[in-house]
Amino acid sequence: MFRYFALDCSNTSSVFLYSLYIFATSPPIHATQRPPTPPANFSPPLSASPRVAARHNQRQYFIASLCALTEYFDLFFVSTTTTISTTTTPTSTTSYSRITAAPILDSLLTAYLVPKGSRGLGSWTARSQEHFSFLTPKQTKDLNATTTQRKDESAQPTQSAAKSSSRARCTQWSESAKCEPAAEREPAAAASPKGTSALSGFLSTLPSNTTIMRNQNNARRAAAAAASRPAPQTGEATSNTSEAASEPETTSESESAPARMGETKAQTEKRLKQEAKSIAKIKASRSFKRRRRLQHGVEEDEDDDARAVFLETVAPLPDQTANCAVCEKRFAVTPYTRASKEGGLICPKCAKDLDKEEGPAKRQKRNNTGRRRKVQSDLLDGVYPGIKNLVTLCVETLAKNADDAEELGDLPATMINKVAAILSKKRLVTSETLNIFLRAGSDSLTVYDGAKLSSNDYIRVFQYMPVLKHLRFRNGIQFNNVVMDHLLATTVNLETFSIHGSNLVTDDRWDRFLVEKGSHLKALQVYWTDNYFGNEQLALLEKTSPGLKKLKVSHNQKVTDEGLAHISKLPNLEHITLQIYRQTTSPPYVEILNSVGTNLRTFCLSAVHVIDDSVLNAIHDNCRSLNKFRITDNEALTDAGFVSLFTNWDNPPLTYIDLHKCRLMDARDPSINPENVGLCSLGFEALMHHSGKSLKYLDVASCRHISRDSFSRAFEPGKLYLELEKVNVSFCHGVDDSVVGCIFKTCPNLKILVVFGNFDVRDVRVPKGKILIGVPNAHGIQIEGTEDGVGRVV
Amino acid sequence: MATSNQDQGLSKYVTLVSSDGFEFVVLREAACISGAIKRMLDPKSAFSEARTGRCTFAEINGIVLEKVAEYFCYHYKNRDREDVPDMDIPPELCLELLMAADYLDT
Repeated sequence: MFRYFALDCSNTSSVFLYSLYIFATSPPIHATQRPPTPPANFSPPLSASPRVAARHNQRQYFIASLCALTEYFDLFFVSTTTTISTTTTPTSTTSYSRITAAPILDSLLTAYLVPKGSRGLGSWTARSQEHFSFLTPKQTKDLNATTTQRKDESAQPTQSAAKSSSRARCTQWSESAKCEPAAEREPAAAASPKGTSALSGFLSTLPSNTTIMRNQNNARRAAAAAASRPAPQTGEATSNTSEAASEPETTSESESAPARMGETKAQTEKRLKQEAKSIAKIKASRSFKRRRRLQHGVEEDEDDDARAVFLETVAPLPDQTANCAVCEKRFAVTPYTRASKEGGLICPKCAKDLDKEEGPAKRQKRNNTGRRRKVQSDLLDGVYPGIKNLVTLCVETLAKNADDAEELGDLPATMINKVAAILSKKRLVTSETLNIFLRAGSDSLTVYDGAKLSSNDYIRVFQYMPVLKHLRFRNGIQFNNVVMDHLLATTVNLETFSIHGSNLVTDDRWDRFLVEKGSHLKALQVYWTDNYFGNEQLALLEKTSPGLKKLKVSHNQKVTDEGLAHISKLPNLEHITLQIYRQTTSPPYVEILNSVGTNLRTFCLSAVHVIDDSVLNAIHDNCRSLNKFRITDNEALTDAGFVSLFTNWDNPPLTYIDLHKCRLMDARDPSINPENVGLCSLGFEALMHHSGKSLKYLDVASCRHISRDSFSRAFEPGKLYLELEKVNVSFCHGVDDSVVGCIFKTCPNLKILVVFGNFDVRDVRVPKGKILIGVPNAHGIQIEGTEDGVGRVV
Repeated sequence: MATSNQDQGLSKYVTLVSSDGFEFVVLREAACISGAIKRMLDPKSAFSEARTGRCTFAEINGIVLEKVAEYFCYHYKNRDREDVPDMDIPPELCLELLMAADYLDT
């Protein structure tokens, strides 16, 4: 049977070498002998320092181990890149990449050492004397002694073992090491032809030509680099040169100056000369002397130390190999190789580990870079920078871990609403996360972003929540006919139905819904329905949903004046919000106000371009409980209309007024407005006079004919608007620094003031806790207050 | 710690007691970040909490109250800073803490 043994010693520690020795020299298990004792002069160094580990007795025992191992195996193959055969420093690593023991048959041992980068394995027979030069005669003797000792301990104790196979082997080996290459081939030839064939068989399985070629190429390049440089590179220092310096007793070695592969004799001489020169220089240097004094007494070999220093100073170039400063493994140097703090190089693996350790610090840095953007984004959202309250922190954490949550327990509805809002903002509402909001006992569900839900998910909602009363979906694209059919088949009777973006529910399904379920409806909000939901549906409401209190039809493309008139027939309406894309005129709105205006609490009309003062008059005459009021994007209402609306109006002060873009649309001369079209100075003053006390939200953006004086009078010192939280005065030319200052003074609870397009707002002091958005300066658009009241550009 | 505030005004610290008996002694100013605690401790209110400086929360356990106390300190320490890293909240505590925060108006 053919047995072989492969050993990778590329990171061999001294302890490992010792164990290898023990293993190799142990008697077979059946031979009960006392345990092997290490030879007297074997002192496995406890220190892992390669400097120590490279002392020669260790190498000697390694060789002995190899010899012993060959007893048990037909062939063994040792690959090593460590400091086994060198005695100097870790940096002068051996050039032997492989030590192969040839086929052994019975008592014949031949060890072949193939230097790395030499002619490669393919030409292993053409080895030269230098391959064996690491064995000095003395060591050979030691080696013999060791192997003999082992033999003595085992079953053949006679002195005739002197003639025993192993001794013969080793002698032969050392002899062959000294003889000429031609003669050297003999041991191999003397080996059995069977063994040779086994080896060649084995070799054929080894790395193919590419490896060899690469080795050769590297060697050639290294040699060329060495020739052109004043000092040789660490990685190139062959063991031979090391030997030459560290073991001067090898006379033959010192004489035949070790040549590098591909190096001419002259080059070698030159290189050695330069090396010797720099070493001499190191020896002479003061720092070297001090170092020696510190490290150990003077008795140690000066040459050795000087060489070590020399090799340390020569850093390897890219495409060469070096030993890692951390793990001491050998690796190829690239331009990306990382340097350690101590000056050495670090192998990719260790560098990766280091990166991992430093990882958190780096990540921290990245966090800080995104911070500014986050602050800006928060400011635009009206979130003042600083400490968040605990509820917000919790809700954010909850939203972050929504995937792990199974249910929200008995959280209050407001909290659930907050969680839902944040999840939707992050677009995290999917089939899975929807589950945490489906609580069987609950009667309300709000999904702010249903874009990722399928129609099955919507159907699931009705299955899970049979007592559902208030349903709100935004981006409910897949809330289609199928879902509507399912809803109609269930017992769910909705009181609030708010649906946004469901343009797949056709008119006939809307009709069926209103007819079958409309009687329970108290609030109906329909947004973005494209081709569906028009006049017919509004007409149906009169019969099907007389109890409707809230109606919102927004972004609607079908409804016209004719349809709007039907709204006036809903007697219980309290909230009306309309945004109709078709051109609508005043009469239907007046009709609505005349019939249901008294109880109206919300009246919001967006993008009503042509309605006139008759609507304002109808509001003035009819509304007695209005709270929220909006008319936007209009170019027909006049200042006089607004004045008459807000003067002597029997309606309590409003809390929400949005009149943005109620202004003259004339591009010829925008500043001239002889007929006072839109909300102008007087109208604004009347508005503030009527509603200022309770107003929370005020938007008069683009009402550019409100004068500076008017603003000054409305916000003059002495007046106090305690409720105002958000004011938008963008594109009002009258607003300047002093007006902004007055606004801040008269509105102590103001949170956000928007002043886009007001070029007279330049340098304003913003009190702490308030956000001013839209200042047109070069640094940014926001000024945020600091404690001492000094404005700071963010 | 003396919690009575008979002698010259209010004590500097107040004690928060959890349902399972853990007590947390916090700066009065820090604890008053919570609207509920502030109202409890308001000397004008004549609540027993205001007299003794001890607030007992029958529905908040020690683990959650510890986190709440930590938040008070975090808030107090960073009250004048704007660039503050968010406090870490363990996800498993999140729901209970949210309920407590909602209750305490924090």
